Amino acid sequence: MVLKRGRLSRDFLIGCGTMVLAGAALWDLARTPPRRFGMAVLSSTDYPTAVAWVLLAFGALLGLTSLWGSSNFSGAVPPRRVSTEKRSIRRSLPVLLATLVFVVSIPVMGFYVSTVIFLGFLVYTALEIPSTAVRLSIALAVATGTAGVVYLIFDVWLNYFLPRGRLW
Amino acid sequence: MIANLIAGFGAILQPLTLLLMTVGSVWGIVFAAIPGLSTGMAVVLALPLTYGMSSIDGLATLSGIYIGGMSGGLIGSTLLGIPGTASAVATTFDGFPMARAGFPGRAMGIGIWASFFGGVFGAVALVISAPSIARLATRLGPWEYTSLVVLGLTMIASLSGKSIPKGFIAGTLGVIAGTVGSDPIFGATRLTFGLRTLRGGLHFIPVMIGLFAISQLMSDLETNQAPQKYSGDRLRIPTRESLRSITSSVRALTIASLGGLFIGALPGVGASISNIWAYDQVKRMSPRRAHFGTGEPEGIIAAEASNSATAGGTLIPMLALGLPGNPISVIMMGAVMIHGITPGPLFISRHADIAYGLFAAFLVVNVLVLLCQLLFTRFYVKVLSVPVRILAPIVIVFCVIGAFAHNNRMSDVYIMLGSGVVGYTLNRLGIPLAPAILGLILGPTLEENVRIALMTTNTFVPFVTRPISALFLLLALVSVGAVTHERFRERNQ
Repeated sequence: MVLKRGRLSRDFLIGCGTMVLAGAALWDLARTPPRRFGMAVLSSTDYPTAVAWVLLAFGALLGLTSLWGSSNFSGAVPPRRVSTEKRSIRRSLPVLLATLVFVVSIPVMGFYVSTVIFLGFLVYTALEIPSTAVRLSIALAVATGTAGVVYLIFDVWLNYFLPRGRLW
Repeated sequence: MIANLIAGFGAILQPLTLLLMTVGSVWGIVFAAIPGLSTGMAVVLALPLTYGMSSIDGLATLSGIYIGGMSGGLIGSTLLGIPGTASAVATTFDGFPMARAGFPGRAMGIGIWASFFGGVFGAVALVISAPSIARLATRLGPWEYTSLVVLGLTMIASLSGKSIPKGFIAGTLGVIAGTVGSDPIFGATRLTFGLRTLRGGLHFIPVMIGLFAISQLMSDLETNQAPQKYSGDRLRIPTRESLRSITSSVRALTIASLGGLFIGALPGVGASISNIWAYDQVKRMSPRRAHFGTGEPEGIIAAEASNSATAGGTLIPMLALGLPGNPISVIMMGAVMIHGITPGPLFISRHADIAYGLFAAFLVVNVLVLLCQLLFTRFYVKVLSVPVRILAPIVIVFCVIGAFAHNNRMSDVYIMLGSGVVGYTLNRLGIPLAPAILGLILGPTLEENVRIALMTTNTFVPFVTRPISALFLLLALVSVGAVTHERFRERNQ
């Protein structure tokens, strides 16, 4: 029953996930040798262990309240709000993947080359202009312009060097 | 105090500092005006630029962004009916109807001036109250500090989001993330899961950039908002008329500013709540309450004065107690810490030059934001037409710079990206991010004070027998109890 109720089942799963996370922390802390000196009452692992137990307790609390809520408040749960905005992970996921590739490519290609490619690609795909040539020109202008401004601010003005790669 | 303040003005009224504050103000206004970007994002992305500046210049720039962001939210709210930030939601109720009725300039003018008066009120209160509170706070020991941090975390956890357990999970996750890496007393590493990247710990700057900027951008990209267009005619701001509206609504302005200031000073509650609270209070007390929602000037005044006064309020506990009340003051605290200074009760007396420089900056920046709003309205309207999907990649590039520039380490960039994914996931699961961020930054303070307290007395008893500590713990319990009661009442209705 718990898993069938949208909001409540999600809370139950979040509670379980939190307990798993807390369990993982407790497991790592248990295999870490504690360090303690002199007057110290708490060792280096005692405090994070206590916090992990608190996390475990809150995870259990969320799980239990979602169970309790499903049996006691099933009639009182407010109806789900119907959002007028259409949300789709399809719009954000490509950007996230492109960001991942961008970050991984920095040590190889260098910050500036990676930035021009990353920005050029994403701006090109984001523009809604029919002409390919215009889209490409705008994307290239935005990409090189941004990289140029960043170079002027950081490398030239602040003397702060952003990561270089094998290309530049 | 007066001499320190004059010295602070002397440090702030330099050409470069004024220029930086002006640029900061425009940066903050633009980020707050565009739905999808936020003031927090603006502050966090500007942080790496302040690394190379002096403490005062860096903090003055960030103050410009903060105040600009508080004021800039009204542009989107008034002209588009879409609040640029959560702190400008109530501005939409009357600002947008007034603009749609053919008076966009008047609506903007009233909002800009109300924001200015609210901001100045908050800044003056900050200057007056922070040093006194800091003097009182020097008497606090590790027991009181521990309880104070527990109070702050409890309040933010119970007030953020819709579920109290989720708020507490977020806060505890933040605290546990703060323990990753070296132990602050013995230097032993913990919770690294054998990963070398985590040995240095999770520094709050890359984590905050990920949680704030990346996760929010991903959420915004999911909703494909069409670019907004607005014709620039009738955007001339009638200053006299706007000021006349303000002077005839002094009571609304005072209630909203006082409320905003007080709400801002509470941990966990910020401008997102104060603007709606102030709007509601002013509406209840107004003889023209029936006109609220149709373009009533008092409605705009209430929303804008309160959110701007909140800015000064949030900095009071941060500067006086070292306890940031909301995510933006966490970033401001981070900016101070980057320069090797830890905010707390001794901050104002030991670093009077920086503290009073910041106070002076807060006062001056309100004037600069007012000028930037009045002069560049047409520019902001143009910026509003740029869709988020084009701005997002540029913001991501700045996120990478911000994370890397903090320590010159690519591992911080990976941590930033990982935090972004975690933040995005938490967002989708309805777990609030603010308690996690506060937990991360206050976690080490909590650990240090608990351990020092236990080293001193070897028992937990003083936490409940020392009166101030007991009071803070009692307030924490009361805040959870009150919010739980309120939620149950709402649910049963």
